[in-house]
Formats: sequence, structure tokens, C-alpha cells
Amino acid sequence: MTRATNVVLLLAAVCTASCKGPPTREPLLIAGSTTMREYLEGLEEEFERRNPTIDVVFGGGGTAAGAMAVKKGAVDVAMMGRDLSASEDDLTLRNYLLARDSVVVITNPSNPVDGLSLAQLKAIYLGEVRSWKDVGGQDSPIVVYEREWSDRSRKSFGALALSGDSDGVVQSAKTAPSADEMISAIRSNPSAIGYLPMNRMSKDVKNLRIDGVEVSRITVLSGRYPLTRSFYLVVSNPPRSAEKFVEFALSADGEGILAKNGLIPTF
Amino acid sequence: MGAHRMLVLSVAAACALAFVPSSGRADIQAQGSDHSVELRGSTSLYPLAQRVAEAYMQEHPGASVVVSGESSFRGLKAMIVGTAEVAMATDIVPEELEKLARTRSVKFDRFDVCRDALVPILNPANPVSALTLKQLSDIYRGAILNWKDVGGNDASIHVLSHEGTSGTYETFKQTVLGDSAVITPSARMLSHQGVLDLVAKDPDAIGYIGMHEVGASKVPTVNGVTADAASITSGRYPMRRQLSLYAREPISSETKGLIDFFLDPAKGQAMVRELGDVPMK
Repeated sequence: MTRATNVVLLLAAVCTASCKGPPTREPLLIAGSTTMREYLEGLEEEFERRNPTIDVVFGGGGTAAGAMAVKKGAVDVAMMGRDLSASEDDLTLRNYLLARDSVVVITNPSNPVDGLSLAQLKAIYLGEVRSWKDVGGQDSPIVVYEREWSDRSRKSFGALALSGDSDGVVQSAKTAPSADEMISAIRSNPSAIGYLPMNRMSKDVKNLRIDGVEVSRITVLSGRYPLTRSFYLVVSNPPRSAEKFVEFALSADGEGILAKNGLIPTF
Repeated sequence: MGAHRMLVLSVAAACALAFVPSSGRADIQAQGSDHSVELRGSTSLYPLAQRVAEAYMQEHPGASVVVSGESSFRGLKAMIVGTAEVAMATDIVPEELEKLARTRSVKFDRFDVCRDALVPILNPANPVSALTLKQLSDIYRGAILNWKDVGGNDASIHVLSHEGTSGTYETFKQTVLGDSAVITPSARMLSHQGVLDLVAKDPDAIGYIGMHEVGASKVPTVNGVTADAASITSGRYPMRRQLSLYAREPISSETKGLIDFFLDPAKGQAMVRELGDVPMK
């Protein structure tokens, strides 16, 4: 499907949805990254509670289509799961950094391996490297843990570590149904590797350095930790309702909701 | 299918018309908290700014300093339209952005954080090890087309340059070509990484880049001078520039704090030296 078709389809979806709202409420059209949309859970409800005359209408379409739609004035706010590209950026677009998203790669504290390169991490998850000795560790098979398909940290890990190839994870990988169970699985298995969202970091497991960089709020904000991406709200010539939404998302209360959803606020 | 597509299109068109944003707007007020500073811009300044930001956050546990590397032009634009407090850029603000700032009644201040130089880069297999400014200018204007004319092999020169939003390009234009000169149309415009990658692959390529970004490329002297701290500070090396932070007025106390930290001889400027850059003083 072409990008133009994407824009048309998301517009149609947004419009159909908006027509159902009460006529007295002003629709605020937000479209773009569906991944980012999941992280905004709770933000829209709280915003509408505080602004009863505004009806937030979400459409998907993806990051590229969202950027195009906001430039054309077809939607009020675009959600982007990455930086604007040089060709997308222009003098009128404003992309407000809302939060950063990151994942922590973990092993058992007894594992002598302290860090992996991005390439090694990817090779382990795709099953191309199967023993710890191939990445400087002991001669023991690597036990790969992942999260269930609907989990947000699985999607982040797929996008950040596997170039989006979450389905290519080695067949023998085990699934941890929650962050707590991920932690207890890794804690009880010296050969295991897994991952956690930033807000669930635990002292019971070892955080691996990636490309030599230790994971922390500081290295995620500085942008040096490699498993990091940025979420933006983008406006071009926004109506007041769109400005209010961006202001709320960037406020202490808005950023608090994003933090609860596992993002690293830039607040 | 055709009819269905038509319907979708017409619905979309109607909606697009109905939801054209109203005019008459104020700027978005929230910029995060007083303890949050965002830096965007030059990829040349990015690695240094990341380290300084981390040191600042360690010293100020409540602070958030967020850094993104894009380009000087895009960093300056973000600072002017208000999506970032601070731009990382070279010491030249393109006229297009000065104009944008005037249109939006935005005032900003410049703080020079380090000196730097651009260097020509060649493939390690290229026998040329010295170029004059005049030769560089002739190569980029398309007046010299063959390596043998500058003491190299009998092979055509493959000219690589940077996209127009790159501060590196602005400095090159100013220090080598002069404002009115035009780069040969056969030049390829690439990202920083693109220039490095192609120079690494192509023995007949020439590019230019910040002195700390050369990777495995061969760096010829310019007018017989090697770019280093001494030749930059003394002014003997010709392709010099300053890397700067630009902050939009009014400058918040946290932004001021970060800039002061960057300029502090014992803190930011010491890190400039540690990372091999050249401090201002």
C-alpha cells in the first residue's frame, strides 16, 4: 500500500469515528504511530475529563502517514515513534519530544558476561548465537526469554534490538507472562537472558551494557544507550485544542501517565 | 473496488476540508518543567554534548537534559520554533533561519563551546597527502576533475559533499568556496555517515568532515598545515569553525545552569579537552 493510500485510509477512519461524537464537542484529530498510541493509554481520558468540550479522535496509519497528514492539515496532531527525517522536516513543523522508550537487557547475576554489542544481542535472539562462550561467557547454551506478543516491552525490544523482526525470535525461546515472572525466571537460571521495560528494573538481575553503554535514565536521556527511541507529538498550524493536548501531555500530570505506562519522561 | 475507492476518497476530501485548523493561535506553553532542557542539532557537537549532559545530570540529580543529533540547521529551527530550548550548531546561522526568528519575534543568544576544524578526507589508497585551499576549491567547483592535476593518479575525482542542512556544509562553503561559489553538479550530497562510508570504499573519492569524525579515512594537510589543537588555536589551519550552543530567550535557570557547566573550565571545557576537542580558552 502506498503512503498516500495510507493517509486516505486513516483519514477515512478518523472521520467515520468522529461523526459519532456529540455535535457540541470539538473534534481533535490525532493520528500516526499505533505503537505510540498504546503508550498514551490514559492520557486521552484524563485530557477529555479536564476538557469536556474536546472530543479526542484517534487514527492509526503509522508514523510516516501521520507526519504527512499533519503537514497537509488533515489531522491536528501526529504521533511519531521516531525522529522526523530530514525530508519530512520543514520550517513550520513542530515536533515536541514527549518521552523516550527503552528496554533493559538482563541476565542472571552469576553470568560473567557484563555486556553485549547490539549485533550480538540480535544474533542471540534470532538463534544465530546459541552458546554464552561465543560472546565471551561460559560454555553453556543460552536460554532466551521473551514476552507475550501483546506486551509493550516485547514490541519495543523488537523495534530497538531486532530491527522490527519480533517474529524471527529463536523457536526455543521461552515466554514470561509478566515482568515479575521475567525477573524470577532470569534470577533462577544462570544461562538465561531476557528483557524488561525501564520502569521495572530490578536489583535481582544483572543489567547488561549494550555497545559498552550502561543503561540508566541518564544514558537514555543523553541518547547514548543504544536501545532507545523517541516519541513525539507533531503539530504544524495547530488549533487551540491541539495546543492544549500537547501542553497537557508535556505537563507533570501528563508525563506521570506516560511514566506509568513504562516510558522515560523528558520532564 | 473502483467505486469503493472513490467513496473513501470523497469522504476523506470532505473531512480534510471540514477540519482545516483554525487560524489565530498562541504558542504551546509547556516546555516540560524548569528542570528539563532539550538540546538538538549538530552531529559534530552531539558526542560531546551527550557526555556533558550526563555529567550535568550526575551533578544535578533532579535535572533532565535530553540530547538529539540531527543537523545544525534542524537544531536551530527547533530552538526557534520552541520545540527545544537549546540548539547545537556551528557558528553560522543561515539567513533562512535568521528570517524565521525575525518572523516569529524570537531572540536567541550564542555561546561558543569549542573550536573545531573541517578536514578533507580521502581513501587510504589515495597517494595524495597535501592539498591547498585553492586546489580544494577548484575540485569542489569542478575546475579540477582529475587526481593527476593535484599530484595523484590519472583518475577522475569523485566529489562528495553534505546536505544543505548540515553546518559542516555551511562552514566548508564559507572557508573554502566563498559565498558565491557553486559546488559542481556532479557532487553527491550525503549524510556524514554516507560521506565516510563512500570514502572508505572509493579510492577516487574526496569528502570533508569534522576533524573528530574522520574514522579510518586519510587526512591530507591543507596549505601544508595539519589540523590539530595548536594550529587551530593559532589560526594557522584555515578550515576552522566554532561549535556553539544557541539558547532561546528568555533563558530558564536550568538552561543557564547547563550552559554555565558547559563553559566551566573545570567541567565542560575539561571534557572538551578530554575528548580531543579544542576548548575556547
